Formats: sequence, structure tokens, C-alpha cells
Amino acid sequence: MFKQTLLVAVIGAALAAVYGTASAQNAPKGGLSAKCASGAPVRDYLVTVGEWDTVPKDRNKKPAAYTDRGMARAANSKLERYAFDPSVIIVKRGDCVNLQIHDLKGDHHNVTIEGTEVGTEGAAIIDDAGKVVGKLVARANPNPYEDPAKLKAGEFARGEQVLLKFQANQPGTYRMICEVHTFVGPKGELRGYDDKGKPMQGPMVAYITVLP
Amino acid sequence: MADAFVTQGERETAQLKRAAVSASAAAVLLLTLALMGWMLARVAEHPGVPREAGELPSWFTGAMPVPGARQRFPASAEAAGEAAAAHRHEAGTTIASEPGAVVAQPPAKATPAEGNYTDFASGQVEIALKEYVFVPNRIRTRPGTVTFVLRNEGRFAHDFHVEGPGVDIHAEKFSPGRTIRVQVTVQEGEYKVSCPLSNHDERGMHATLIVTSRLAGG
Repeated sequence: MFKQTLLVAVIGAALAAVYGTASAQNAPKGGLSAKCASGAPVRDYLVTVGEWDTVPKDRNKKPAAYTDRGMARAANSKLERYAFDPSVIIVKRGDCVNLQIHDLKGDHHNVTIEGTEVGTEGAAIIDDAGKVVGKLVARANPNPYEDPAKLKAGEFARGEQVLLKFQANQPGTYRMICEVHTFVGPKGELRGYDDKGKPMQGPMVAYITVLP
Repeated sequence: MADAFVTQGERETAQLKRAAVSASAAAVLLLTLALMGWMLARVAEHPGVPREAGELPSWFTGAMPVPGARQRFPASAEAAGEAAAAHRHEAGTTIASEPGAVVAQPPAKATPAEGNYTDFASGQVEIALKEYVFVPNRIRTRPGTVTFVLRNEGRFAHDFHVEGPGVDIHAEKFSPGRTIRVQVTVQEGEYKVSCPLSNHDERGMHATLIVTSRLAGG
């Protein structure tokens, strides 16, 4: 009787595992798709892209800061941080998500979502009323007297608002990063300094969680 | 002595008790296994990271990334031998060489070593796109219509741009895991291949394409 019970339990567990894997594989591929199906519930989010900085002082009021590897940094001790706000966005599977990204501070940014085709390349630039006024292709920097003079595809400058639209097809947590302020290592680790140790004020990342 | 005087009823009670204990143990085991199966199914259905993203990053295991200690490409012996030739060839661009090693000879326009370039004589050029690199990034092919088969093996969307004599072609952005084909008619000369998205190009996502009718193979 005991052996039979064990057998039934093992078979049950195996069936459950097989069912779970199969249903996961039957789910639509691609995670997030750039086009929304009609009739999908629409969720709007306003995401600001911002920055804070500070110059930490020691007890003698001298600027003192540390690099991200713990070494004292004498010159240029301003600490900078770029971030998305909100940096965690939770949506349901099947939702059509409109991220209205407002570049509040910093000269230029770019947004891409890991593992998907969703990114700001070719995305719409909108004004405060939500009207489309342009497209994020390679173009001149709209802020004069600012570096760089030319923006590449997908980069947007301070003061601009961008509409990033996608449908959440597959549950999971996706990293939305700004590649201008994040170094992505060969294994996908996000760092605030590049190969040569040059700081880049990051990593600038937000997380999009899609609930089942 | 006492065992000899156990009544029939007591014996039955003891058997019943034993059966009840084994039945409850089996029930607990069954419940545990069913719960484990259900949890496994849940985990298989909803992993914490997007499935397309591949393996977990190194920091997930607690190992600190050491900048500089790890190389993007494991340098093979022959690649190391030809590094000098590569440096000489790319005289226009600055390559960070070893700090102590000063290149004595002037940068000459010498022909690169044969193994340095990957030849695609059939007119079909297969390139893998990864985070901030094209593999291979030194390509030779013959003039005429060339089909580029581009695999995105990275974690982010990438794009493709060929620029050179008479050609300035952009592909559409494509997502990780996908393969696209781009047909380009090229003539003899040197072309620059790059990813025009954001700062991918300046991070090293570019390749040199040399079109010549005198390939090593034929």
C-alpha cells in the first residue's frame, strides 16, 4: 500500500512538472512585444529620468569620496547617480503598457529592455499634451551648446518626453536599462564603471515585473 | 509472560494502530511530494529572469567582477601572435596596447596576416551580434550581391549598418535570439559595419568588411 502511494505521488509530481513546463512553453514567446493587441487593457505610467549628486565632506570640510572599489578619491569627489523613478513597474500579463518617459535631468539617455525588441529606437517623442511631435532617430541634439552635438538612434535629450509602448506577453522580471549610463558586462552584469574603470554614473536600471 | 495472555481484541487494536500510523505517514509523504511538484511547476512556469536572457550573471553567485582580470575573448595562441599585425593594420584607430610595450616600427600599411580575416567566399556572410561586439569583426568577401545572415546572440536589441563606397544601408532593429538576412550589393573596397543604436558603436560594436576578388580560397 505504501509503495503504491509513493508511486502515485511521484507520478503526480512528474505530471505537475511536465504540465508546468509545457504551459510555460506554450506561452507566447518574446516576452514583451512592441505592438499591442487591440482590446488589451491599457496602463499608463509616467517615468522620470533623473539625477542626484552630492559632494561628501570629511570633518575638516574637505571633499572626500570613495570610488566604487573603495579607494579614496581625492579629485572630482562629486558623487552622481542616475535613476528611473519609479524604478519598479508591476503590470499584469496581457496589459498594454505605455511608459511616458520624461528626461528630467542629465544630458541624454537611451532606454532598452533586456531580452526583448522593446527600446526607444524609433519611439515617438511627445509633448505635454501627449501629441506625437517626432521620432527618436539619429538627429542633432535639441539642446544647443551641449555635448554631444549629434544624438544617435534611440537617444533623447533633457526636456524631452518619449512614449515607450509594449504589450506584456510573458510573466517575469525584465531589466529596463539606459545604456548610456550603464556598462553591461559579458555575462550581463550591470556596472557603473566601464572596462577601463571610467565611471559612468550608473548603473541606471529599472525593473518591469509582469505578473501571471 | 504477559504476551501470552494478550487477547484477540488487543491484537486487533495494535494492528489497526500500525495501519493508521503507516497511512498517515504515506499521506504526509504524498502531500510533500505533491507540494514539491506544484512548486517545481510554478518555478518552471515563471522563472525570475526572462528566459531569453540566458544564464545568470556572475554576481548572482557572489563572485565579485574584477575589472581587467577577465577578458572578453579568450586570446588563443595564434591570435596573440597576430595581435601585432592587427595593431599595425589599424593604424588610424587607437588601440589600447600594453602600457610597457612601445611599438618600435612605424605604423605601416602592411597587408594583414591571412588568419586575421574571416573569408566568406560564397557570398553569404554570417555574423553574430553580441553585447558590443560583432563576431567575426574582420570579414572578407567577394564583390557582387552579398547576403548577411545576422544572429542576435546578445541580451539587447541590435541593428546593422553598412557604410562604404556606394553603400549606406540600415537594417531594422531586431531582438535577441532572432536572425535576419540583409542583401547588399558591394564593390571592391573597404566597408564599415556597425550597430547604429545608441552608443553601441563606440563601445566596440563595429567590424571591417573588405571586398576583394582575390580571396585566399579562390
